[in-house]
Amino acid sequence: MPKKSLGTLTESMFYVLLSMHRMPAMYGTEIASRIAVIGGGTVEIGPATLYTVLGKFRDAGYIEEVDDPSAVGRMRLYRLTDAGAAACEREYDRLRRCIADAEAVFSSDVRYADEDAQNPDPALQTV
Amino acid sequence: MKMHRIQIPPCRPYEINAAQSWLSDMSAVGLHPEQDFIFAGLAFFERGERRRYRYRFDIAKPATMFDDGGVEEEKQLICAAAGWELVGIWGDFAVYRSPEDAADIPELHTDPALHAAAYKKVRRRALGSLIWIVILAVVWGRMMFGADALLDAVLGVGLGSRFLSAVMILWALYLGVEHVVSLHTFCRRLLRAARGEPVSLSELEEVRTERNWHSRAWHRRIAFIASFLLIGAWLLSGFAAFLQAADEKNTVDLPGNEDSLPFALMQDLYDDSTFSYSSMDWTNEIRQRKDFCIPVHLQVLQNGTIAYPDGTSYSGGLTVRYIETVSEKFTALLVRQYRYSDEHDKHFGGYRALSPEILDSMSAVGGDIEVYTYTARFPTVLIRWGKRLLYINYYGEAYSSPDAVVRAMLSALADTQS
Repeated sequence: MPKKSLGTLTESMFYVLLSMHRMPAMYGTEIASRIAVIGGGTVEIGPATLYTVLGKFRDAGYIEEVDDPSAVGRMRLYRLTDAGAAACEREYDRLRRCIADAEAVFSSDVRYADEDAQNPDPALQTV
Repeated sequence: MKMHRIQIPPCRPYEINAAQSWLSDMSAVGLHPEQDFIFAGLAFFERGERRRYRYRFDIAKPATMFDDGGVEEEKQLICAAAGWELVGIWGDFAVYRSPEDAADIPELHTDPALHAAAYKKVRRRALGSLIWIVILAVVWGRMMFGADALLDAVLGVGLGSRFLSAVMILWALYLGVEHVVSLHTFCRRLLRAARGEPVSLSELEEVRTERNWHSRAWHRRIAFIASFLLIGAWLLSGFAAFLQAADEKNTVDLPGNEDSLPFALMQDLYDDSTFSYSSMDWTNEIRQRKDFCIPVHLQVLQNGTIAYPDGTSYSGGLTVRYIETVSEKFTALLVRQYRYSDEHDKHFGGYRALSPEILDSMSAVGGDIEVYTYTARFPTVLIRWGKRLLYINYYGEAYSSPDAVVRAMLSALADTQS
């Protein structure tokens, strides 16, 4: 169970969850590399941002630390929890709804009444 | 051999845009910050090859009783793997750098919303510190501007030390406010960026001006030297007051004193009496000190026995504080503050009227004289004659009366006046 809600995820947060989805435990550096791969080079996450996100997710119970006997120094190994996976899917659904709304707007001629009221030119008004 | 250079930073760490661009410019001329480059407010650089670096600030973990603070090892490793080298800690911030020409290295922070949230924590800490400074300033202000503040300073640490303390508090207040305002402005810009709001031209101009650290460099450096001197002067003034009090030369044994004093002692109160000192350790001495506008400041603690020809004798004591200032107004102000202080003492029993004989002798000597007699903790006489002030407490009232004390003191003052 999440210990505290994070509300709407930012893009960085979503990509961190996405990069860990259905993956074995990963180091922070591996998460950054995977985000670069998933984002196809258009999405990048700064190391300070990544560390902040990992801290927030750990506090929220979205990720958990995994014992790593081979770890050098204090590099931690993280795994997505069920709560994290659920948060990732919730965000995915939200984004899909956003996309669907956007597609509906872009693909139709529907204009809204208040827009017509602001447009006295009949040629511009919706039929 | 490595060449080193020490500089006074031309900006404060929370002026983030200025600090980042200053470090970049220093590297561009071949001066690279050493590991943990800030010490005692000074920046330490080593000379090397000219290189262009971009410097970025991140929030450092604050030090606590159980933790040295700084940067977590995991964070350092993640940053190093991404191409960001930790240079050192400066104030609340960890300073990182990466080569400016390495296009594949991402920015240190890529999420303005999260970045702003982190800065809000630092702003909250800065606000907490400011609140403590304000509380200190209020408490200090009561001491500084209270009705008997001047007297308190004269009798206590001295005027110089008190004045410097006030300047330091005001300086700390200014820095505290500047700290909070700088962080607030930075947070506000990050939040606007996170919300995708357009940045106005005036904001762009603000950032451009901030990055131009040269424009305020001299102010900052002069302020640094001034604050360094201020702290030094404050410590010295406190130490000087301590040394003055501890110096044996400033304490003279009263029975062995051969110099004339500008006030009367117990043996001067009655002509037909004999006086003998008691052997109390902490009395019967003259303590002297000086302050920058009080050239003479004497304190006598006398204790002994007065014997009269009829065989009666009384034991008692007299404390006299003689203050000579540089101006009559200053002395009059001290008198007012003495009166205020005693009037607010719970033992204050009201003023006593001066006898006609004393009033006559006051008008006979002329001059600018004020005399007050009252009982506070002890029977008290307060006299101002021009720039000179006498504050007298006596106990064992049976041997004396306010009139006798006033008469003897006025006579002694008149003698030294002439």
